[in-house]
Amino acid sequence: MMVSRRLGPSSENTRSAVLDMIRSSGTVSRIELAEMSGLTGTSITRIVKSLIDEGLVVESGFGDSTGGKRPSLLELNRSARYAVGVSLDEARLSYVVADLGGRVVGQLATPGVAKKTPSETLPRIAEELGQLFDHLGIPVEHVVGIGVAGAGLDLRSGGEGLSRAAVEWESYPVQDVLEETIGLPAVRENDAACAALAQYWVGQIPATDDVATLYMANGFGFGLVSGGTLSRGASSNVGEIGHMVIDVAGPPCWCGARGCLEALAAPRAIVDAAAANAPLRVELGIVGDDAHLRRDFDAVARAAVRGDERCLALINRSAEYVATALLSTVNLLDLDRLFLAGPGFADAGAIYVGRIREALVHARTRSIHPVTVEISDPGVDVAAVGAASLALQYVLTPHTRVRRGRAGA
Amino acid sequence: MTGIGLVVPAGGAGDHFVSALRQAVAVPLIEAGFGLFTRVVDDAAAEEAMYRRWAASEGIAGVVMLGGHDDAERIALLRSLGLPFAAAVSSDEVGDFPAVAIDVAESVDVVGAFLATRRHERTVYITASMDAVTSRSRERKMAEYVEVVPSGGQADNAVAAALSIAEGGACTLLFDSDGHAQEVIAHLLRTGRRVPDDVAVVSWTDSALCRSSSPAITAVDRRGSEIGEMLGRRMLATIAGGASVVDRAPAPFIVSRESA
Repeated sequence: MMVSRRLGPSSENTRSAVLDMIRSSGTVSRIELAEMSGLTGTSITRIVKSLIDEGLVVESGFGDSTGGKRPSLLELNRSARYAVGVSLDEARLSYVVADLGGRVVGQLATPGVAKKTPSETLPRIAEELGQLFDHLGIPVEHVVGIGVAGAGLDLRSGGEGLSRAAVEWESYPVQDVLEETIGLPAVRENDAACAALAQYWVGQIPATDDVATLYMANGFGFGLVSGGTLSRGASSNVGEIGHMVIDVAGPPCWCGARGCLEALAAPRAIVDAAAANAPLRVELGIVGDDAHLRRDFDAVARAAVRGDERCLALINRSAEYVATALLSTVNLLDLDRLFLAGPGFADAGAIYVGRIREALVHARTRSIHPVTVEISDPGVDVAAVGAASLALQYVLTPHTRVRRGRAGA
Repeated sequence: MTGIGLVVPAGGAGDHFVSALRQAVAVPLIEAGFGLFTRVVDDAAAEEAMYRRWAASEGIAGVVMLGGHDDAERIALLRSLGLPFAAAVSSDEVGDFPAVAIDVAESVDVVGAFLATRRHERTVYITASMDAVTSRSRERKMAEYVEVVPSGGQADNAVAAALSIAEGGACTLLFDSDGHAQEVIAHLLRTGRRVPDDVAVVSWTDSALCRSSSPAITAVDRRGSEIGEMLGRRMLATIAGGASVVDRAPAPFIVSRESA
């Protein structure tokens, strides 16, 4: 079905909007573009010519005749440009190279950030990006930019209440330093926002639908794509669901509040509870420190999936808290489609899905529309895939940017 | 940072078994301080070009190879280029090289035994030929037991084939691709058929998709994560100068859920 989007005559980004229409259409004729955009045939012809001259668009055959000459069809020249997404994670750095259509053409996995500071890690990232282009035969001159998916708040020039491990990362100007070091545009978003964007692009979800994603790595994040663009909030920090208070009498959270979702249900809480059971700790080989948090949590999650009742109780408890938080979120935002993404759901995702579906039976909107819950298809590299999509969108279709302010700038 | 290279055919890039295997290969490599470079290629010529590029580079210490097509030619090429490698191959393709061997006959037996317990008499295997590891030999072996219908990797073809088969009465459908299985279930439910009462559905690839679908999809756990970690460790042993050891992959098992 053709979706019309009228472009104003004074639009500064008409060209990028036309490019985005070609991307989302697959193949499309100039006449269809004119109908979709509301632009004149002359304007479309001029814009398309410039896109073809730049190699961004190619003619790919002919459409059906409606009485006269058969119209030539246009499509993206997918291999004309590339973007890189990098997911900053304590356990692993994941790089994804995507072509103009968002298809993944190359990947790199290297040791994670661990507890290293940005000033130690960014030179390594710059070096690894160089190796990525060289070893995978990606022409640097065709790379439009780098998207960085980083955990946690984007506090730009600093702030209060920062997490324990991420103090420097939170306030460090990652994109500015990367741009300066590698000479390519860079854009940064939190990993939950990137995961939502990946689901939107990879899942070919119409721009008219909202896409909400709960991301679990060491903590939680919530990303929302609405009308084809990321919801960012006043300071690009929307979606701090990890600090939604679930239990007013709950344990203290590092943020200063009590009973936050993160303090109750994140991998640290589950691993600590498992480690408190001495026989279980030995059985699963739980180390218990921050460096082994991901591995420890995976061990508990796998044991739960295998049916170990002690681990199942822990994961079920975590899932109950997550489901409670999402019920409130769904009621607040009137969502109809939720995705779970990130490494935290890799093993025990189905348990979380089950608990969340049970909770959402009580959604306020249940009599109007169902709320579906699925595990995100782009897999554990979802944040990196989304970051690459973000870079493509940021550089090639700037008309989709939120006017409020540059993410992470 | 020194790297290990992996080439994935474009047709297998979206396969969740390959994804799980790739994620897991990286685990021992990263622990040992290596990076895993993965390149998705469209054809054999592009794969060869990538191996030649890596052979000429000092930054790539070896190659992890996913068997399944033209294995002998690719292995001969890697040897001629002097690139150390370790491969995940079907057990009937094992040779004098380091590998993790996947016993396809055993896999087929496990799945065949499960399918024999299903209530529907007719069983059809709708293939995707997409994982580029053991799919072709699996297809050959399965043809001895059940009808095989190729989809060419296209979801539309898989759906059309499934709906056509379902027209003929109750049946069990086995899919290479979890994505195809999910799409077919959605179509079946929309057209008023019951899963599994009218059509039982089994996926040869287990994934998060199978686990979170509604109804949840019965699937074969092919042990992709374990095979990947074994392959990564075999790669490390190979570049350390170890002998050409062949590890035996763990046997797959059926994860019985709601769809069959």
